[in-house]
Amino acid sequence: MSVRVQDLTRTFRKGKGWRPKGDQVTALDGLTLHVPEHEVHGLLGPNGAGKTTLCKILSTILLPTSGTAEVLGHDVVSGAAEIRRHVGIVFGGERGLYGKLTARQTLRYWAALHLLPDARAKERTDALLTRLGLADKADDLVETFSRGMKQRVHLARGLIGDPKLILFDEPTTGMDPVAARDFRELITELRDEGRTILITTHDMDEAEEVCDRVTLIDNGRVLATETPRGLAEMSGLHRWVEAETTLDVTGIPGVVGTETRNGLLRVKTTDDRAARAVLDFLLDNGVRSVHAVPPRLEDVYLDLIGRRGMEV
Amino acid sequence: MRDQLRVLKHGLIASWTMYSAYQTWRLWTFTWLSRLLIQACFYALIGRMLGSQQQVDYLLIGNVVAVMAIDATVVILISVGERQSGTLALMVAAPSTHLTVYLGKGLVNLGSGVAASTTAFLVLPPLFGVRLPWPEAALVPLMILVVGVSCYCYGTCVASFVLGFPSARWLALNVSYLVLMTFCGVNVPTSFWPDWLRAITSVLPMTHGLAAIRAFIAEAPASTVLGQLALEVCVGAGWLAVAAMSFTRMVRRGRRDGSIEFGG
Ligand SMILES: Nc1ncnc2c1ncn2[C@@H]1O[C@H](COP(=O)(O)OP(=O)(O)OP(=O)(O)O)[C@@H](O)[C@H]1O
Ligand SMILES: [Mg+2]
Repeated sequence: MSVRVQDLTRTFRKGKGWRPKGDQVTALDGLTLHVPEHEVHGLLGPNGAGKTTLCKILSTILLPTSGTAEVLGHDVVSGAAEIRRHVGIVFGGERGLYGKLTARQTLRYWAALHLLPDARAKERTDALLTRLGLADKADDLVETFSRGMKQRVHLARGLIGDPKLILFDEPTTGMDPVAARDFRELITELRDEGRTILITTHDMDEAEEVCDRVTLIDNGRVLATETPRGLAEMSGLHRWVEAETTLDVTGIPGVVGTETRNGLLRVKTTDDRAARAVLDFLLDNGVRSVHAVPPRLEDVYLDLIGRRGMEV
Repeated sequence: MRDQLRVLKHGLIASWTMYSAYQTWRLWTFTWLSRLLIQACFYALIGRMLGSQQQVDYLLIGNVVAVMAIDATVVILISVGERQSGTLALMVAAPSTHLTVYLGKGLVNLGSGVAASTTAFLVLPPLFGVRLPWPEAALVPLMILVVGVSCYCYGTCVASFVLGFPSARWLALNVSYLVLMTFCGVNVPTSFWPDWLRAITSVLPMTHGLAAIRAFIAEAPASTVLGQLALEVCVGAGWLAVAAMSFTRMVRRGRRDGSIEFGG
């Protein structure tokens, strides 16, 4: 087991100073989570759900208030030193970089902090720069990089210590679609190399594509842990059928509603049987581009977390 | 140990790179170095106003050594800089010791300070008629280095506290080096202070090192000089030990209260 979190609670006191006196905020509320080795595990949840707090505890920069968290068999409180050798962290945004260093210098610096011998550090630096498509820009100052390129430097930095567990906190913020697709491939490769990956993201398509399992968190509690597929099945949400047609299908039993967008008809049905019936009807009527769409992770997310809008 | 030395080395390389992004030789010479030289001259001129060459000797040597203290304590700002650049969390989460990382990061400034003091030592005495025992005086820069290292340890210790109170960084920097300037025998002999204050100055960096340099220039017996230098080294080591403990404590506190932010 790579990550074993049991009844984890973390509270904060609002306010400033040495001993803040404000209200107590509960960021994690008895959270339990198990992530086996070689798994890509997604942490999903609304703003303020406690995802970052969990990542911080797992990366040993924050202590739990109560409960236990083990990473790679070591307790985050008593075994922090061991954990730090084998965990890599990457968070989104432009901070966490020294603008006046080049990408290569940045990696060499962090390699030293991860206790890599110089020869190995050089090798890994070169390999990571190439792997993340930074080889051409390796000797440019990081401050001259675009946001997505800074993000790649972050990724490379997170991988420099050859971590067994990688914590990604919203790693794709600011990446262009191509970079984001490359990132998804990278995640799969990293898993195939035998690493475990815990990733928080607000991008449901990304989570659906790369995660073996996802955990939905809200208010510091786990709502569900499942494969993206399983979650969809479990949710009992509507199946959709999509077709390029103007035919009217509202009469078919099990059809809940329809909508048309850019000439594409989307039919909402109650279950697989109803979806089947709509498909048959459309195919019988000579419509060719037809397909059934299982509920997407995003639908499940919206259903479980609720359409709360901007409320946090 | 090998690991820690490597961290020190790469911290030094990184900080040298960042330092030289803003600083060039010419800029350093015409702004920073000249500012420090003028500071030393200023005090020497006060000595001249007081009318005795003895005063000039005392003030000039004191200030030549003391001008390095600002640079040696700049490590205080660097520690907070780590929070500002959002790298503190990454540093804490890395397996190397925080103390080593910080030690490496301020070394460039220490070098700048020692270089400035050494230059001052080579250039200013002839201008103010301060006589030095050449060629033995060539050993003084080495003693300046010892004082610098011990001031640096002191600065690192303050830095470890400031890490918990980032808004106090400028105050801490100014107080730290003004304390050295005032109480460590730079402008007035430590014997001027009441006993309790003198006791404090004896655990501050610079006090013993400066005494050693003064004794050396006055051609005092080697045992006096070496004794004072040894004390200076002990004081430095003491501050370093406190710094190490205090860094550990600050990080523990940060982990407890959540002030170590991802990206902040
Ligand atoms: N250092 C802190 N001091 C006080 N409260 C905090 C602190 N860190 C987090 N919190 C609170 O804990 C809760 C969880 O925050 P957290 O950053 O873990 O959420 P998140 O799931 O990462 O949200 P987002 O999707 O916006 O990144 C929030 O209510 C937040 O205000
Ligand atoms: Mg977050």
